[in-house]
Amino acid sequence: MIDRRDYPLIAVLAAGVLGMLVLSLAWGDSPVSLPAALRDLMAGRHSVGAIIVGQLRLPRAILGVSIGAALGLCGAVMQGYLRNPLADPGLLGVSGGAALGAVLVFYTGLAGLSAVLLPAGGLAGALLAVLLLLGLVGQGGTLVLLLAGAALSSFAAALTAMAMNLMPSPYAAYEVMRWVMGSLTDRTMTDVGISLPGTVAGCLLMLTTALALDALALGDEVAESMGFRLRGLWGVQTRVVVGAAVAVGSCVAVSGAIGFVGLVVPHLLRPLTGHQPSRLLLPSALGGALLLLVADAAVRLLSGATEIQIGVLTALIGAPVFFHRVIAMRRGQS
Amino acid sequence: MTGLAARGVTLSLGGRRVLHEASVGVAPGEIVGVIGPNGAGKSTLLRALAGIQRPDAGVVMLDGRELAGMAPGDRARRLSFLPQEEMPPPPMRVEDLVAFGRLPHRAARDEARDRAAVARALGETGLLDLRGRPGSQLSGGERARLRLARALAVEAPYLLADEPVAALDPAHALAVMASFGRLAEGGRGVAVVLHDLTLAGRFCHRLVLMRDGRVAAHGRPAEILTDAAMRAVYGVTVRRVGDAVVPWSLTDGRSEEKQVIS
Amino acid sequence: MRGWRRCGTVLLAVVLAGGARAEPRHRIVSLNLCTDQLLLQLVPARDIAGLSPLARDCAYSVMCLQARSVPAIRPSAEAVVAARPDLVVGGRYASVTALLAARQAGMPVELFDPVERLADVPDQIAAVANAAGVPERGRALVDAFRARLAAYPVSAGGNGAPSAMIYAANGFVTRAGSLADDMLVRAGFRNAANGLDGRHALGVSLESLLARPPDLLVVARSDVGISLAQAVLDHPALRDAFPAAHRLSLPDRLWLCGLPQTLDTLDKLIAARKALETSR
Repeated sequence: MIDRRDYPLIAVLAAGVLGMLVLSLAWGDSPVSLPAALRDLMAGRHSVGAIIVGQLRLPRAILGVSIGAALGLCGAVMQGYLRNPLADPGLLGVSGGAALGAVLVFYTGLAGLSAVLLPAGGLAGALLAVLLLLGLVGQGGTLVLLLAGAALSSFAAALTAMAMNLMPSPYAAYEVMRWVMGSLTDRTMTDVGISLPGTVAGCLLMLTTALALDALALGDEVAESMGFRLRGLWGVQTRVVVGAAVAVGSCVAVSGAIGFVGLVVPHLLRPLTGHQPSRLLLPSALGGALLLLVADAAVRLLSGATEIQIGVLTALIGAPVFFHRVIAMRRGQS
Repeated sequence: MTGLAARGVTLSLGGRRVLHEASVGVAPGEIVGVIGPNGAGKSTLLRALAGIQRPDAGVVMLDGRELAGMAPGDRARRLSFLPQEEMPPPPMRVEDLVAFGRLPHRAARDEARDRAAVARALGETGLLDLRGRPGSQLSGGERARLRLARALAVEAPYLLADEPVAALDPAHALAVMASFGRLAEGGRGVAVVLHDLTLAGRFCHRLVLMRDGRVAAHGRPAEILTDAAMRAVYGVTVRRVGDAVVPWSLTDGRSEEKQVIS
Repeated sequence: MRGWRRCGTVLLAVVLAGGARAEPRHRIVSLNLCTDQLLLQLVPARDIAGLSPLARDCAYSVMCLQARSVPAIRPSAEAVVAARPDLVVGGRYASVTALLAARQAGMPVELFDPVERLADVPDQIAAVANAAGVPERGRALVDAFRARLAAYPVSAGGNGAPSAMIYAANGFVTRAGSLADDMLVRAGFRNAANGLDGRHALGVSLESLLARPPDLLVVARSDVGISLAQAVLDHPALRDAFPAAHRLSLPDRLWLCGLPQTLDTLDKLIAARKALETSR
């Protein structure tokens, strides 16, 4: 799955992620000495620096990496599986469905009963959205896919807004944006614990489809003739759907729906990985992590009195890429 | 009990019976041509032989084992399938696309063998010069050869090809059939769906004539390509040109005979 | 500016009260949480024709249980006029249409500003009592409040005082010019929120809070439903940075209005300061 030709790209992306990770631990609202804070953290001292780095910046950075990686990978896998470069969990309503599921669990207080319920709600919402999407699209082409995705994501956003307006908390109605656009602010290590297992499991499941995605580039029948089972319990479809739902559901449950990461990152990296679906996966995960860390740094830099949602920034980067693809498609058709 | 054989295969698609108790065999070293009018069930028969479509009744046997009971990976190494339609190729390099044909052998991790197989497939299909080009930039005929190269790179004992020459000019069509001939000489079994009866008569060792989901006739080309059979199955009258064994002939540069089916 | 407005309100209330008949009203409608709670303490329940629905909500009202024995009224023009009140009291900034409609229907309408200092609480009690035609009952509450307030030692509040910050959902803090700020000062604290720069005009991020922690963190929560905004108040970083003596949790209902009960809240703040001083 990892091609020798991609080693330099992977090394550069990994170095970028590592650098941004250190930066996001070292830099924030208030000046904190990172080495001193880490020393206190290791020694278990509750110094201000240790609390700021260990309990505010660290969970945020970990979630930036894990969620960015999951979204980037999910975009690459969905694009490979659907053979459509416009597939993206955010654009197709999968994240929106997950946000709806998470919102229903969080604001009703169910999340307080068990830590598993919040990601489970996200997973259920994401799974429902993917299944609806596949059912709606069937053998339809790009246009049908995008129409179904647009309908699904706005429907999920509307339901989310309605659900939050009906919730007892007076603040809930103001938090719609956090779920629809996404945010990493004020997350805790508990959130990391909630989201990480599902994210990792979903990503590993999606990675098992790497070679099948290569074969699928030539068509369903060729893939099947080359020994890849497409349907069934351990079929490629099941692994893609369940993997994406588990990963996106676990991410969105703590961060809200951050869009466009899965669209932008594979789009930028595809020419660098020879347009081969399997070679795109790992770089997309790293690229997604890098993009989200950069976007989060920008959020912290730009946010003044009120917070800018991280999804706003990824959309600002992502929408032009989307436009570019649409124009390219139109040229291809005419 | 070597060979690939369908025995009494019956198959329905969407409530319509597409194959009716079809029995067909391919032995190592022979090219079997599947001919018949559109909608006769040729492609479905090939898919059933490839194990992609499971028969409702009847069995497909591969070298003495039931195909349906085989692990997909095992099957994929023994049977290479070239479907009639494929996705337009992605903008990957031709060489990398052909290398996808080695996916069934991924567990062996024998890179030298994979590279050699890809090079052979590129050579057989005349794509060596185009190996670095993006697949999306190929012409229709080049794409057809690319798809064939991918199927050849599997280097499976049996090759099932559904209309591999439909998009090719005569020269390339001849070249493809000639490479099937070399496969057969090397001991491989080839089943190929053809609409070009001249090529079928000239290169296939045996022909299977399909009509309405049934095997209407099978045997040596001279036995199948008779005026009566053509009239009965295709509903056309044919005019013979040239010799009697291969009634319709295609020029390959040496002869001036013309293909006439009217 | 604020001072002028306050004087104006009190004057207005006094003028209106003076002009009004001194006999008690029997169909009073209140459309404001603070006047709701004052009325419940000033007039018998049977004289109240309707209170705002918030009054029954224990998250916002310290008189929620008593409020449930009187009718709640939707703060809409139609509902208010249909209740045929002989007095409508409300705040200046909410339910504007309903109050306007009541006035146009010829009903007496009295408006009250939010109280911004402890010292203004007696004036408001008196003004509401006068409007309701129960000045004696008002005077009794006012005298009790004044007596209790006078008993507190006047604190210096200066730079030597411990600092405190009221931290609410979304990182909102309370600054000078509010009842809560006045209470902090009366309890002997310095309001740390007043020293913050303009970047934190609305909310203070957890990180900024932790980087310059006040001696006492007063966590103000609404206790209604679940929200991300409230979840911030339970962030483990806050628990670690502000151990028991440095943290006081006070629900919203204890601050929202200037009431006789406001002094109970002041007691809690003073107790927290004493605990803080002994823990040093």
